[in-house]
Amino acid sequence: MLSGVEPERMPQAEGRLRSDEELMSAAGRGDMDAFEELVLRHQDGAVGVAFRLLSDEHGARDAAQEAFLRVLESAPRYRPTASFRTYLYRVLTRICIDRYRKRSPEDHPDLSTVEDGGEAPPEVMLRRERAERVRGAVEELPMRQRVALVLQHYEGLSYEEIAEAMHCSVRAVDSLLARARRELRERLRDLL
Amino acid sequence: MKCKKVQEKLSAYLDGGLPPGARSRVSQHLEGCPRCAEELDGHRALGKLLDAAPAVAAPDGFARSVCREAVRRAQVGERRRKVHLLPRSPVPVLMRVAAMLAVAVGLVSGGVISGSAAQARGVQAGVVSGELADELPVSLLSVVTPGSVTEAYLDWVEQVQ
Repeated sequence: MLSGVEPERMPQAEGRLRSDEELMSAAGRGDMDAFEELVLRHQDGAVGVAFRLLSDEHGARDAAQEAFLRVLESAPRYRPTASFRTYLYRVLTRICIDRYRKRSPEDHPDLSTVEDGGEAPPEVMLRRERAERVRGAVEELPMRQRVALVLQHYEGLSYEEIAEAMHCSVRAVDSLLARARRELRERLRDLL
Repeated sequence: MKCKKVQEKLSAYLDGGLPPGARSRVSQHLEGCPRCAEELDGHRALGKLLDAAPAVAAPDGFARSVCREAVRRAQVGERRRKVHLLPRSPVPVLMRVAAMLAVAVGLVSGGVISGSAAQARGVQAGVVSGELADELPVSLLSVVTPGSVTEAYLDWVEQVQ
């Protein structure tokens, strides 16, 4: 764990952008600048994935923060067997799944990001309604299908990376994605 | 390759998740099968539709606030570690608790009883004098039970006086 008070700065490789793995290694030695750089690189992806899994903006930020903090905590022991992004998403999806399961039925998703109709022109309202239908359909998928879909479609992870992040086989990922798409096509048939 | 098999693979076909051999077999099938080609179009349309779902990005200052939280937790951890490093008392915890309880009971008893111990032994709440009695909860003004710590304390006060 980092010292927290006296972070040890490592010299940056001259004129070269450090890889995620190098930053992670530096973060493990207490270099908070390296850690901040890592967070900056992956924050949008992490918050985006968490939001698509939890449908709650505040919860998504919180889950993403927790994932980064856990990653930092494990930094001194980190061995880059997979890409850093895959590792981060593995930590993050576990946190999201855990929080989603613990959520009480009264905890409705925060839809504050989806603006209300208001005075918007009909085509804008239609687009919003469509977006909301899609979000709702994705949210109704079983969690593992949703994770696979979000990582593949929105984050562009390969089947191998998703398998690594979800701790399952590539075949299982294939099956999860096929079922998720079948389900979504069924639910969104009228929009296709 | 049969239609059912091909349609099972369309999702992976679109995602680039098929090995080269399987991919070329699916491609060949699609060229000669309008039904499966239509199914593939349906998958493509779904992909476009999924892009319509709302997205959220990290707010400004997110990375900085994560770092601040990391430092805060590290400092809390450091403080806890220091507390754990303090020399431990040789007196077992239970004994310390018992001693604290005894002192507390003694103080309460001492505070409740004003005037002489003999008066206190008058046993009733009314014996407790003056202003203090008005402020005390009824439970503290109850009968002194024979053999209790309060009685032992009163005996001691009597002896001292």
